[in-house]
Formats: sequence, structure tokens, C-alpha cells
Amino acid sequence: MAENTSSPRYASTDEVDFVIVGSGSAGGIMAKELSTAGFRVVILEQGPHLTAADFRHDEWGIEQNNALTWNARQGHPQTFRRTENDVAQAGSGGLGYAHNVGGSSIHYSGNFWRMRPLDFNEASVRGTVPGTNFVDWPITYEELEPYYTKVDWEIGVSGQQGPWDPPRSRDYPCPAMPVKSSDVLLERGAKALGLTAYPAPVAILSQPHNGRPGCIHCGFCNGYGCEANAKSSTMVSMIPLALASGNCELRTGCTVARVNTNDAGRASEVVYWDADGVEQSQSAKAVVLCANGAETPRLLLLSESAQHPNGLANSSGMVGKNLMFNCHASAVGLFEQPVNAWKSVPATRVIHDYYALDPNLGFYGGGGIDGRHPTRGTPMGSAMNAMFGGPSWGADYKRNLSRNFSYTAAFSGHCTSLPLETNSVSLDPELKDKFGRPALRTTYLDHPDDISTAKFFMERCLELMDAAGAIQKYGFYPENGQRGSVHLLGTCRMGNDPATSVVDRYNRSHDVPNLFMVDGSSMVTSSRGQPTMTIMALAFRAADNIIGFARRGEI
Amino acid sequence: MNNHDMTERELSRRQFLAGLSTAAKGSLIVLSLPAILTACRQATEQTSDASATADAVAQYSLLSNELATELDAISARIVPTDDTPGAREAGSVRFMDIVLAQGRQDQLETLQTGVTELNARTNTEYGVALFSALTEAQQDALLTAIEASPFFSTVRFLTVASLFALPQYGGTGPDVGYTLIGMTHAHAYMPPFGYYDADYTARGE
Repeated sequence: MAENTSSPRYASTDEVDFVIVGSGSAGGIMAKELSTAGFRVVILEQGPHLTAADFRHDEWGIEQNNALTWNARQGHPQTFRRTENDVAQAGSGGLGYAHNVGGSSIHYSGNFWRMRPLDFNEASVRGTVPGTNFVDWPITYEELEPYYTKVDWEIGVSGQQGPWDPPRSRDYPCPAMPVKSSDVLLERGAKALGLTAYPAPVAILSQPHNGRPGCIHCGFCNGYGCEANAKSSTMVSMIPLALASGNCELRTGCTVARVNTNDAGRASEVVYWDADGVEQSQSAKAVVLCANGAETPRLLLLSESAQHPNGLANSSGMVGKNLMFNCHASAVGLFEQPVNAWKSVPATRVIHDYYALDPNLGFYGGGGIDGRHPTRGTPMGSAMNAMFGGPSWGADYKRNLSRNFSYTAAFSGHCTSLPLETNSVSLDPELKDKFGRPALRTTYLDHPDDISTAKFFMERCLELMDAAGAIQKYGFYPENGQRGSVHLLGTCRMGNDPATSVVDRYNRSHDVPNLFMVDGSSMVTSSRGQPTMTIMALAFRAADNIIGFARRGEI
Repeated sequence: MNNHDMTERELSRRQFLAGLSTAAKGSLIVLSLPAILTACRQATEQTSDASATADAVAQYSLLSNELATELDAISARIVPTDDTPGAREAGSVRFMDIVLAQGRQDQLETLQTGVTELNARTNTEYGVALFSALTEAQQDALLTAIEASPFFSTVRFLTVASLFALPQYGGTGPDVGYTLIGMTHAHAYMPPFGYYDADYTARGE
């Protein structure tokens, strides 16, 4: 656990400039930007402030006890249903995110694809999809580019400009990661099929940068905290700078109950339970919600009042709606020689030839393909699977363990999800969490185009396996729809029209002028399956604008 | 870990892999097996000593000795001990006892009922009271008959998990599992990571 001895202690009645709810990918950036600009900031984070020394190769703790992601074991049950006609069930699906300083940037795999110019105006370029809320963003790639570059350099990204990557104003700070065997195979397959595999950008340092060391290739990356501080979480890249500013107080173990508004309709205080479970509140001039695409809309819905009967900042009725997961598909292949894809970072090469699928296919979609370990590189997860139809127990199962672990690679497609009003985060009418709040309820059924896109990517991944020389292979995609995700997008969408969006182009609530929502919730479309780079760039951009508003007295 | 250790580890690892890639076209795993087996034997010996001591006292917090004996027999067929260590050496039953006590008490009934039914089946088919008293071939036949059941899935899940769980969860730590999959406790690796990237640059790929 980290000790934060040098930070200020603000009294709860002392009206600070900003309360930030959440210290993750967006919250960490907001805290650093606002506090180093001289503003008095309080961060409320429900999890602990861990350090690299707290992270271990503890598969049981991470995967089965949800040590980072929390669930019903920690008093945070969720429910899931396919459609609004179903009764949501506990334990049948749900949303995952890490509860700690740094949020999910602690346990992400750090695939940092920028979105391209097309992502911002695709509905105009390609045409919209009937029955969906697929629309253009209110901002362009050119507006966001400086902030993508800020992410590269301040958060720390390793990569190499690819042939179709969007233009960048500055090169990557760190060279691409050394290629893994799984991606040499991907590249072989790509060449044979006339496709291009090129170095994948990752938020993991390939060499020392900003006082942090390069990756030691331990392999416990996706789902795990980095023991070397080489993974570029906001915990290691942003929070230390925020705390060093002398303006930022980080309060951990604090779970926010609601945001209160005053008679003028402005956010005035944030009510929360502190680490001892005692209710507290913090007055602030402005509130920034960075609680992620699940908890930000939940908090707005929980903040209902006589003034805001449908929840705070929800005059559009869009809070919690348009939830997008991204869709995924994979092929797993067995090779003659050791691949050892369990070492190093999850992915080192990516194919972007299928970024935007041909409309003549009859469905909307697009994405990228990278090489990986079939079970995220972790041994327990690998051993749980009896791959290639082999036995699941006994002497032969045991003999297959090393083959399945080290001689396999996965080619994984990461693709789009369409925004649908029917896919949502809402409050469960029955189930409560340990604080007595209505549990997070997810309603989700992938659009048929998303499923078709995933199937398309599985088929391409299987072709790549053949072309790479796999001796056995199988593929899968969510044929019947996904039941959960760690990509939590679109639930407070950004837009120019207050009737159809929740925040404006500066991440400011259309309804409440001193309330900002900055995280995956503001995404208008889903990205090609790797949204965090964009979430972080949006956070840097929002901070830049919010600082300007505050200095000009426009909040 | 200090810098000196890190450098030594990286260097030795690099030399090890460089030696391998020129020495043979064969499997890294196969070639590294003797070293792993030696380490494993040592681990097993230490484990056996520890179990002998632990067995002398009542060591289960949740499981009865009777239930533990049958679960041990089942897990030993799921990951048997042969030329390499198996579930027994991994301390699978002690792992089950610890993790069930840590908030999974509800699964105890699944295990208890499953074992009772398995013993009943043992009695019906072989006229023997306890599953653990059967021969391995008889045990395998009975387990094959119930392998789709939630009971067997649960025991299988816990047994496999025990191979890789840290010692704090009651087993012997991931030594057994890592041995079986050809992994080590190294926390740092250097390229080449596998066979196909070893001469990636030289091949001009």
C-alpha cells in the first residue's frame, strides 16, 4: 500500500475546486492535469492505493477471488439480462473493472490503438445503420490528435507508426516491443494472405521512460498489476504527479453515494462513505465523474432528486444507454515448436487490413487482429481448458498440459459494437449492494451486425492459422451474444444535441454546467475494440478545456 | 529484486536460450526438462516431509478426514502422479479445504453429497464401501461415468487450480503445475521468447 503523506487535507466543508470521482484511466489524468494547473482537487477512489510490491502472480486471488475487480464476494453483486422483457439474474453476467487507484489501467493489456479519422465521422461516410444510434462524433481526429500524442508521451506508449495509421504530430517515445513467436506466426500468415502485420502499440514501456523501467516480459500482464512499473497505468504515470503538486488529496476506500445539487441546479457536494463506512460529504465548485462507463451512469441515476426525477444530467434519457462492449473472436492454433506466447506483453503485432469492412458484405463492422496466448498467458487458465478436444482429466490430460500452454497461439479479432438504446446500465429493482444501493444491472444483446462482424473475424483468424502453419486449430465467437465485458462505453454519450446526448463536446453535462463526465461513457462509437487510448486522450482534452473554463470563470 | 540479481538472471536466461537455439531444433520444453525435474524432485521431497508432519495433526479446517480421503483419491486420478508429480504432491485437498473455508462454504455440500453418492455407486458396482479403496482402473471407470456431473466438475476445477495457486491457499504452491507446463518461477525473460522469434531478424522476416 502506498503512503500519501505529502498531500493536503481539505475539510469537507471547504469548497475545493474539483471533486473527481474515480482515479482510473480518465480520473488519474484529470487529477494530474487539474492539480498541477493549480486547482484544489479531491479524488474519491473506492479501492486501495496499491503499489508494484502488492502485485503478484496470484492466479487464484485475481481470477477466482476477484481481488482487483471485485464482485459479490466483496459486496458488489450485479445482475444481467438480455432484454428489458427479461428479469435480470445475479451471477449470470456483468461488467468488470479494477477497484484501485489507477482503475482498470492497472490490469489492462494496454493495447493502445488510436482511433482513425474515419471513426469520428463513419456514420456520414458509410451511412448510418437503421435501428441504431450510430452517429458521428461532435469532434474530429484532428482535434484529438494532440491529446493522443500527450498520452503517448505522458502515459508512456511503445510502438511504431504503421502503414495505415492516422497521422501523428510526434513519434512514439519508446520503440515497439520485441516480437513474440505468436506474432511471428501472425505475420507469416498475414504475408501468405497478402495482409500486413505491423508492430502493435502498447501502453507498456519497451525501455526506460519518465523515470520508469522497461518491461521485464514476465507475462502476467492482462488482468494483473505490473510488478515492474513498466505498464503505463495512471497509478504510476499520473497519480504521483498529482500528489506531488501539493494541491491534490487522494481519499481511498471512499465509495460515492450521490452528487447533490443546489437550488440553482448546480452540483454542490459529493456524498460518500469513507473507508470506515461513515457517511461524509465534500463541497466543491465543480464535479468530474470518472467512475467508468458502468459506475458513472449508475451514480447519475442514484443521484435522482425532486429536481432531477430521472437521475442527474438525464434530461435526454440517455444516461446508461447505448452501452457498447466491443465484440471479439479468436482462433487457437497448435504449432510444432514452442511458441511460449505466455511470455512478455499480450500482443506485439496487429493486422488492420479489416479496419472497415466492405458495406457489400451486408453488415456494418470493422476491427483488428493480433497474436496472443490462448488464455491470456496464465497457467491456471490454460490448464482449465482441454484444448483441441483432448481429455479434461487423467494421465493424457496431464501430458497435454505443456503442449497446450507453450505450443499454442491465438489470433484474436477485436471489433466494433453498435450503440443501441436497448443496451444499458441501470439500477436493479431488487438486488442491493453492501451499501444498500441498487445493484448495477446490465441489459445487453449484441446487434446482429456485431455478431456477423465477430464471425467474419473468426473466419479470418482461422485462415491466418492455416497460413501460419498451425497443425490443429479451432475458432470461436459470441454466436449467442456476450454476457459481460471490461469495455464499458457509450453510457453518457457525447454530442451537440442535448436531446440525444448527455455531455457536450467538452465532456460537460448539457444539464448541469459544473458537472463533467470523463471516461468511457462519453464515447459515441465503440472504437475497433481497443478504447482506452481514446478514453485517455479525451481526458487530456477535457482537462485542457475545463482548465480554460475555470480560469475564465465559465464554470 | 536488486539490479545485480536481475542482470544475472537475464544473462543466464539469454545464454541458456542462445545455447538452445543453436544446439538443437528440438523443443525448449523437452530440453529443459532435466533441470526442471531435478527442481521438482527437490520440491516433492520437501513437500512429502511437510505433509508427513502435517498429517500427524488434524490439518483440515472444514473437511472431515473421511471426505478428505475420498477427495484425495479423486484428485489423484484427475492429475495422477506418474513420472512427474500430480495432485497429491500439489496438496490439492489442503487447497480445497482452505479455499472452501474462504467464502465457498456453500460448495462443501456439493462435495459431501457427491462423495456420498460416489461411495454408494462404489458399493453397488464393486461391493466396496469407499471409492478410495478401489483400484485405479476401477476408479477411472467410475469417474468417467460421472464426469459430466457438477460434483466432478467442481473437484476437477479445484484440483487443476491447486496446481498453480500460491502456497497461501494451502497447497504446495505452483511448483507442481509449473513443472507440468514447462514454466519456471522466473519473473523476467528476454527475447527470444519461443522458437519462431529466435532467428526472426536473421531470416529477414
